[in-house]
Amino acid sequence: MNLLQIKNLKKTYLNGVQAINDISLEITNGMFGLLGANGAGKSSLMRTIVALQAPDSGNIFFNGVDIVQNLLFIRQNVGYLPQEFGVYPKISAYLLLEHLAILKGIIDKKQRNEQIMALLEQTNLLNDKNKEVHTFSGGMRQRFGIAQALLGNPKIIIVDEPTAGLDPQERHRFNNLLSEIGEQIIVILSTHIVEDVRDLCTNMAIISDGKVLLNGSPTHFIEELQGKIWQKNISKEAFLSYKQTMNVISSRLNAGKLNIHVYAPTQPESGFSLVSPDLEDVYFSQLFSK
Amino acid sequence: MLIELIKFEWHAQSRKWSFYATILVFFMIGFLITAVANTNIPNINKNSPYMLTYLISLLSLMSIFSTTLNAAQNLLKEQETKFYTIIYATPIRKFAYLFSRFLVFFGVSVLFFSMTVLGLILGYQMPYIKGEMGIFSLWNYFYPFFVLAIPNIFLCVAILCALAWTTKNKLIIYVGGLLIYVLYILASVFVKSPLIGNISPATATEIAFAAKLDPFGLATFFEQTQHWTAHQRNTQLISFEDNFLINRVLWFIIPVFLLVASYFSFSFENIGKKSYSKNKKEENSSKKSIEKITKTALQYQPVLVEIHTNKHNWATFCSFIKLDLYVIFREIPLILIVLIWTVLFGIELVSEINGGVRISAYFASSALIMKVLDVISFFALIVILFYSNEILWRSRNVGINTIENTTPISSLMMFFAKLFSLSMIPLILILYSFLIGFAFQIVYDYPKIEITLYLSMLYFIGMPLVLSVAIILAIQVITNNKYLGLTLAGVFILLTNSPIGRMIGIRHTLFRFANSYLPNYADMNGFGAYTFPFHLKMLYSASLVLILIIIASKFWNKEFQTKWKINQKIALIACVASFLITGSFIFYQTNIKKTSQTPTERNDLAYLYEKSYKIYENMPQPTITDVTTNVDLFPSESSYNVQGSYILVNKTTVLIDSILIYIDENTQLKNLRILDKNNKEIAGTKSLQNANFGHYWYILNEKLAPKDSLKMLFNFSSAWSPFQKHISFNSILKNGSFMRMSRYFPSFGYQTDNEIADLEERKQRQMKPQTALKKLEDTTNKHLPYDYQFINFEAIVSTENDQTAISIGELQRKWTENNRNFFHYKTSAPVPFRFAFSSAKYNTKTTVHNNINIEVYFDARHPENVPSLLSDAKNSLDYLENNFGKYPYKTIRFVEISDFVSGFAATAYPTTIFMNERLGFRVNMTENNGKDGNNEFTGHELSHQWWGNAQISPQMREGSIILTETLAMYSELMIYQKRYGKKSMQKVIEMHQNLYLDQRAFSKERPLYKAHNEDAHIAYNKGAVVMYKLQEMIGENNVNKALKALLYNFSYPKNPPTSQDLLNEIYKVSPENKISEIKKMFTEVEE
Repeated sequence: MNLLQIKNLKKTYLNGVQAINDISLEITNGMFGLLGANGAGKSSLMRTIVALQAPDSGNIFFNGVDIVQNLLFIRQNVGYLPQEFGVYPKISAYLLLEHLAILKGIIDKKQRNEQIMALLEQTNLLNDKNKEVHTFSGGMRQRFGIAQALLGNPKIIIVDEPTAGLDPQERHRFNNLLSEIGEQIIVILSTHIVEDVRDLCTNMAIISDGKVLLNGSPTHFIEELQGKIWQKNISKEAFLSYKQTMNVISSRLNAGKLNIHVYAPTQPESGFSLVSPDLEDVYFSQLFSK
Repeated sequence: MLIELIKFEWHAQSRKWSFYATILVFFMIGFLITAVANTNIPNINKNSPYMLTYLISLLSLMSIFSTTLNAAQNLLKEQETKFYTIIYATPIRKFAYLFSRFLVFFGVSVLFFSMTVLGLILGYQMPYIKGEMGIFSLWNYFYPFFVLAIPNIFLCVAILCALAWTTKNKLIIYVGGLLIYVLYILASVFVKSPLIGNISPATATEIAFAAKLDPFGLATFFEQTQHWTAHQRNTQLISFEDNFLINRVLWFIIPVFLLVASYFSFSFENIGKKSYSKNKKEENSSKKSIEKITKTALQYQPVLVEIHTNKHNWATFCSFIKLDLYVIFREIPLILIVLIWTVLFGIELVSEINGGVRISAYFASSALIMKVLDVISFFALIVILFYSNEILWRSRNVGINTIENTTPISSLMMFFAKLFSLSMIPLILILYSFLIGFAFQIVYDYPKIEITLYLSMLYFIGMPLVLSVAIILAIQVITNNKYLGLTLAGVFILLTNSPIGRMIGIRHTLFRFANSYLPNYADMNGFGAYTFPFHLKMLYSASLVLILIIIASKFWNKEFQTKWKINQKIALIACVASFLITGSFIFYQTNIKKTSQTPTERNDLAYLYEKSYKIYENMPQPTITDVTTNVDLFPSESSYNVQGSYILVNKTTVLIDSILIYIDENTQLKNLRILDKNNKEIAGTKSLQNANFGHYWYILNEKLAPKDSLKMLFNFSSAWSPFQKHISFNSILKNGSFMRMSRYFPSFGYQTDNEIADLEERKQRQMKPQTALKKLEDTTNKHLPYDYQFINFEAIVSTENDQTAISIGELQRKWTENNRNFFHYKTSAPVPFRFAFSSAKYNTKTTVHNNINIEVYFDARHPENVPSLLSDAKNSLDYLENNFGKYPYKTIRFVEISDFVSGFAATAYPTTIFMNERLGFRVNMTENNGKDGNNEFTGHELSHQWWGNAQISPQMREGSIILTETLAMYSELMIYQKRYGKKSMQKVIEMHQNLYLDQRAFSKERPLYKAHNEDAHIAYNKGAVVMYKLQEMIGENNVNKALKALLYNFSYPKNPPTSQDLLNEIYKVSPENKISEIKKMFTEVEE
């Protein structure tokens, strides 16, 4: 069992943005979702975990080793798929994977070849292995990204917004891949897509303004909201008055009408009906409930 | 919209701090150059239109570098920041977009350079500026700025814009900068630095060609001004006519054309377009296989890794190299660079082989090719600079750094991989040049390919380049900023490796990073003793590089302040120690072991010398009548020992009570004794008055009566260190040594040569003018017998057992003893106090002609020209003996010496003529295009056995130089004409006329018959033209009759002639009606 412990982590950038504001988390094997809006601090947290940047204060322990003191230890054990990455032009997928495999320390040529071929197959890139990566489509590129993250012997995989910009089919395929991996090791997935977390993660945290708002199991949170989320279709003009008087957590256009969700222990007004809450309601209730 | 875009663009550039830093740097360069640039040319004002135009046009070359950097940084910024998708989606019109960018780029570049001009203007107003200054005129600065600098900047900017717009590739922009630089180099190859009197300058057609084509107009400027007088240079600006007009118009049209063409080729669409389309198909096929994911044949298994082991480090190192080389060798820029280099190297080689106006052509020997290969250094440095930025930040540029940096690699391995990949560029250029070299050797029919010499260049040229690669990378890593790092590395290389650094005072070898001590390669002795300092300098530079690399490794990941590990500390200490040890050893050898003086210190000393010793100028001193010496040469140790004895005679009419002995600073006197006639030590006191001046006093207790004699015994040694420069006339070398040793033997009395000769310097120190050269009209002592101060010379010279030592006089005996070769030389008649030695592994070829032994001593590798040398010698002897009288000795030797000895192509002593290997033996006689330098040199030097040496040996006075040099020029021409006919002669005369006109601007014009010794262009070149004209007017026979009479009436031991005596002899054989014209040719100056 792997264990990642984050204790009172803080990071402020030179331009004054406090990206991580006292975050503490404990994460073990399985998929862990980091949910938060753009700019909430997810990427900063991930960059700190993979030791691309140093925290101002606080500690990160991986399997008991302080990663700031021992950069090599985390680098030896991590697979990282950044939110955005580039590739060397004119280099084929196989060659690039081979390069990264060497950097990660797979010295034996046979082993390296086997693992690369397996990864290419698993990410469904086997047919494209001799194509230049910079000509790949978004989905192919993300699959390539996860393939390289899995090179070697990673005990923790960190993927930053992997499905952003992918079409539904690509996203589906990608999520399948992730969930397969996530059984033996830690997989931390950051996203602002609630659905992904619901589909994949056993544990999650919601981050906003560099702080952890909520940390636990998605199903548990959904259960907690059972019987407390009400919905109603209203006219657009009426939205403001609802917003002032009630705990509106989300609103969505539906066939010209506005569908609102309200958090309340009892029916707030006639016309509201109970909905069975989903993770989105958990997320929005955390972000927007008064 | 155009205005807004310009404003925006201007704002984008001017808000960066680097903008103001550049302005400051440009200003300081102009300001400092006024103080440190050596622009002191006699008679020409420092701020004359000529000097200012020269400086401004030369400095405008800096714009090549600044515009290239600026272009790389700004012209493709949309593409780099991926902002293009937004910009190109806006309704900006192509014209406004490109034009605004061009305008601001051009404007900023002009602004930068105008700062240099401002720096010049202010710099020359400073009170510390010494030297001749004219009246200040703003126009003299502005005019060259407008006609040369601005068009040059426009050219750079236009080429760079055109390249950026058509290719949208940053490396191509760099290659473009390089191309502009090479264009300039090519033009200057043809002109061959016109400020220096070259032994074999370019022909008029070559100059005119270069003048039209030089993109920077420098060649044109030199072409127009080459024959200007000092007055013209001080007052006249270059005028818009002839080639200058053609050049400027041409280089305005070409960039405009390029701009227009690239404007039409530019399109907003094809940027950043990716080739998705071709993947669509595969995309579809892969969609079908989506189900397969779960049932794969190859199952993913984690693989255990090993990190930071030797294996991992090595594999990482190789992997990075593989990727980098993949890029370097597959992209177009390298191909362009190789093409440009091929052209540059080829043209340099052709130009070197083709010798110029005087030398017909050189053999395409391996040594010549290696000498030319030296050009590669600066070329490769520029290429490396630009590539370094691309290779070093490649991972960051493409955006894969976030992945690579989370892998457990050693950053040092990555650094070394980059170092290795980048080093491949110069090494491959060098290897490729070898192929060009082989091709040239074969095509030019000189297939003696010295493969070890070629390979040694991988070290001698490659090593400094590899070290430069390392320091360029280290500087950029430490700076950790793409363009700042590149700029700093560029400035570092410019200051430590280019002439600009030397110009602004960075001269000490310790500051010239990896810049070698190596002189031009000589065939006879290679790099000689200079290889040792070279090794040491490489060690010194490598230590510095390693220190920086260790520091740089700390900057690789700025985020984490890693602690110094113990082995890092040890490595750092070891490198610092090695840096300090080698550095201080070099410093000791250069500055302390033999104190090197600054020019000011030297002048201070000379000033003191003149002040305290001038009173002894006319003190009676004894005359040397006999020199007997044993000289032991140690070529492989760069030293020699001398034991000598003089017989000194008091030829004055008064008693001599003290002897003022002078020893040259390159001589270490070990012992000096004075004996009387009976070989008994005579009483006297020797005192060292002031060693700095090289003088010793010897006070005789018993005064030396007139006609009485003494014997002086002495021994001394002389050696040189390769950390200092060798002294050309005292070159004791591994092979091909030459020493004009009479300069280093003791002499007597006040040394006028050690006075400050520079007029400006004397003026500033408020010194009286030097004792003027004796006037031609001065008739003092005319009727007394003249004291020639000739000597009987006898020398036993020994050298290492595989070498032959040569001196002057007849060889009496040679033998081997103690594993050394001994040679005994003795003159058969008195000769001037001027003798030399040479030593080398010689082959010999001898023949007898008219009872004269003609001997050639040459290097075994250079037999080609020996037959023609022998026949030239025979022809010359025939002509000279037939017209002027018997050759005075039994032997004449032609002796090859190393190219390390500079200052002459050949030099004549009684019985022996020493010839430089390159100018005499490396010349390809089969390729003679109406030029035969060897024939000229042979005729000239042989005729000095009549005009000079022991026959005509004129007293030092105005015009005496024409009695030796002008008459030797005349003999040379006649011998040449006999061999090649009148037609070829015309070309030679034309060349001498041009050489004369080129040079006269830099010195005071004196009439031929009063030429001073320093007026080489008058005595040699004008003299040749005048004498040729004379023989056309009155006939060759008459001239020879006059010269024969001159010899008959004035040769040793009769009193020597003056130039007036020569004129008188000429008048005697000339028809009455031509005398006034002849007189005019010799005694008047034509404007």
